[in-house]
Amino acid sequence: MFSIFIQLIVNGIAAGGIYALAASGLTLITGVLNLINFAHGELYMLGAYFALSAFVGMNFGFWSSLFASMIGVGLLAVSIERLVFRPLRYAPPINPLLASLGVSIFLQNASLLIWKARPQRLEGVFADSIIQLGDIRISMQRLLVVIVAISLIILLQFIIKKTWLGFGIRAISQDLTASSLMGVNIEKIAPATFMLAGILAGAAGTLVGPIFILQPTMGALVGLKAFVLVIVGGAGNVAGATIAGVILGIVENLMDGFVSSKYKDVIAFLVLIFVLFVKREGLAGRDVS
Amino acid sequence: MTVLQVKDLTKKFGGVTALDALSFEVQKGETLGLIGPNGSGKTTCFNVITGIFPATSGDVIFQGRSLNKKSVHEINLSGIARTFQNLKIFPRMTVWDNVLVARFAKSGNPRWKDALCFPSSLQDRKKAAAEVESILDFVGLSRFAPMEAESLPYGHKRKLEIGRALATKPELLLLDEPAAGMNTQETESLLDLLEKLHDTGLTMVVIEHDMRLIMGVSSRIIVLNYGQLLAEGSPEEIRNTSSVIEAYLGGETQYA
Amino acid sequence: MKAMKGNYKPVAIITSFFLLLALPVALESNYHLHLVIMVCINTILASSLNLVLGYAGNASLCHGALYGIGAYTAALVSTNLGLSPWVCMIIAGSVAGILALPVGLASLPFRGVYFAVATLGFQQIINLVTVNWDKLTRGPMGITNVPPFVVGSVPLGMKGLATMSMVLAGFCVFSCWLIVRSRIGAELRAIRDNEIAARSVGINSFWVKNLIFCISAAMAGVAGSIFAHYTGFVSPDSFTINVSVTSVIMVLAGGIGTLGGGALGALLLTLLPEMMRFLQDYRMVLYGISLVAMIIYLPNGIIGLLSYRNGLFGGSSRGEEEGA
Repeated sequence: MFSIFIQLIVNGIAAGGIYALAASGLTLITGVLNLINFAHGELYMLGAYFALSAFVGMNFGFWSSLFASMIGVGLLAVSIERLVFRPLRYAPPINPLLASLGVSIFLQNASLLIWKARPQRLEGVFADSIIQLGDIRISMQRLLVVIVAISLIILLQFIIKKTWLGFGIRAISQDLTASSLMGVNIEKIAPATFMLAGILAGAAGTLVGPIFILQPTMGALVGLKAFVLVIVGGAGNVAGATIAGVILGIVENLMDGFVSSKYKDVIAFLVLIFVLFVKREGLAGRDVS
Repeated sequence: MTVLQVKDLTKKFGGVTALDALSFEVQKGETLGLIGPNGSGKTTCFNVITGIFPATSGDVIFQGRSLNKKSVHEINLSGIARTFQNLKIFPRMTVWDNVLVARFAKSGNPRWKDALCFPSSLQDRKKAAAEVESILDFVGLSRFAPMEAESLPYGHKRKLEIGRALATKPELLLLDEPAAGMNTQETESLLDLLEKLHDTGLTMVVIEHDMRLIMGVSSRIIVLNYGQLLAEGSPEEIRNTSSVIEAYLGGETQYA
Repeated sequence: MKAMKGNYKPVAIITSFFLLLALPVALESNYHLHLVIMVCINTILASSLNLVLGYAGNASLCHGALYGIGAYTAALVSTNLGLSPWVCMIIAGSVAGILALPVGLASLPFRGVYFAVATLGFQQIINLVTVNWDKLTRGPMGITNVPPFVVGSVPLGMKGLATMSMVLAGFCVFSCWLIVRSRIGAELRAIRDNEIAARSVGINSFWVKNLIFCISAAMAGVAGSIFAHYTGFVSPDSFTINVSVTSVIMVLAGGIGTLGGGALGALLLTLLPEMMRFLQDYRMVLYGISLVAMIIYLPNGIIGLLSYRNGLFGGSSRGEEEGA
């Protein structure tokens, strides 16, 4: 019994790593640019599909596919920022939200057309190799997820804390007007933020490719859960999003194993409603009422 | 008779104490002037009285009943109306509708009856129309009734806000810098309006920086500084109090 | 109180409505009659959303779920309790309206954006429930054999159904008109223009917003029940986020905050996809693109192009400063 418990937690950490990657990028977008981006889940999904095309279609190795998909999704995210969010920079916040919904629908259905609805799999690097620790089986793939996720998030924190880009990001998230008066150019920061978010989401999608089945709809739930994590962790707070993501991954897996697998997805939404209810400052501590 | 009693009212925003154990009273029928340098807590005082912010400690007692924990709309229903420093009219509604919509709360005309055009609602509507007309007449905006509020000249918008507040049939009217941004002519016109209001017996508290207006319209003045009561007295007394003059030193106001 | 937006002439409208009623009689093909019925159902759905999105200014992304709650309630009550579809319609609307209350209470304290997100959460929860709670909803298989509308004991034919749905849609739009021109409508406009100021003149904004949300939910529920009895079948696929988004597009395209907006949007979004059948596979892709394009270039919808009046978003992508 205990070993099942540990097993679920281990799997949960891997799932949490994915959530953390997805949520970290999103929390930057939400915290810095004050945007609710419903298309983020689709970036994750496309990460998986880009890797699929690279790996299967163009015979890249796994690591090259990962790299290619990260860059690809990053660039896609930048174009979305330029085409959709930039014109709406000064519109009431509901406009970019609805627009992002449109982007999400577009990307989901375009992917459906391009890659078809037939579930597919991305064959992993380490095939099905497993490490055995007593009763606990850790698949190499999942271990890889955790390692890559941790590395990327550490890298992200480094960028935010130590580079000029990160400085600009932090400045804008505190005060847009003051930042621009100080020479921080949102027209450069915004696409850069989206690039980072896209890279992370793309990585997340690629990493799950070998573990789970690919479908064009796989991004929807993840995107919404990422959003919940952003709220719980605090917009703009990468550490918060990461911790929340890992916790969610663990809780979901425990629920899946011990209670019921059907409703494990509901947890995130119930948490969302609960948090919105309790945490009336909404995002980033701003009074929302 | 005391209409409003502010007792040891304190309001803190994080580390900033905007109101510091403030206490004063408002008597029925008087026009109380509330002055003080920028940042002294005047608007915060209004905001706490009208329920926009909860007080950190202390109490506000209106007609013998505490306003503690009441919501903004409940406080209005109890009889306090206000205008805003940065003007909050309903820009996309007509002048007429701006005033009319303020009248519903106390009209006793339930929403469902009004939607279904009950005879009692139609009756109330007639009464409402007459009242709105007389209010617009009183503030001098009758000509503008069908116009979109946003299109009004600035001074008229301020009067509209006053008219809207009047539609809620208040016992106490709080005016937050009603003359802000007005030219001399508009300020004269406002002064007349405030005097007319005073003559009807309405109790008012007016925040203003325009000293001529305040001295002209107030029967009594209180001065705030750093959230505390600095001085209290008649306009002449205040004008000559050294601490008040000091507080305003280097400020933007002029004495008549 | 003459505060109606736009330049509708009441007589012309009522006359054209009665003329339109002749349509079901004139049309012969079942396909055309089907289109009429779907346009009417969508009109009710879109008009209900317009109350919340257009007049109250709250972007609801859960109207698909509310529509579904109405449909499932009608299906369950009629198949399990044998009640007449007409009664089921009322029950469906009531259930949807009642279930919307906790959603509204939880979400409406928030600004538009977070309200939208909360309703999205509700939409997804309802979707998960309809798929997973098989004991009640029979899961992905759905509920079949939902009884059709009858007069006496005779099921209505297509012409009868088309006429009935037109009457219901007309009644719905009429109700919206009553609501909008009454006290609630004025209060909603005040809240939309400046909520703090509205509260300062005695308007209980939280209660009013909840009230209109529940009324809107009830209407969406009624639309759902009509759908259920007309098609005879309900399944989770018919009430997903896609439906919510499509309804939003209907309202945006038809004209936010206008009485005809719901009907016009329903007309466009029901007929255009039919006329462009060959684009069936690309339908949702196009929806996505059109939503984005509309938000950026046409925030006031098509009616907005025709009228000088500003729509919800101030007539352009530029926002207006909200007073603090």
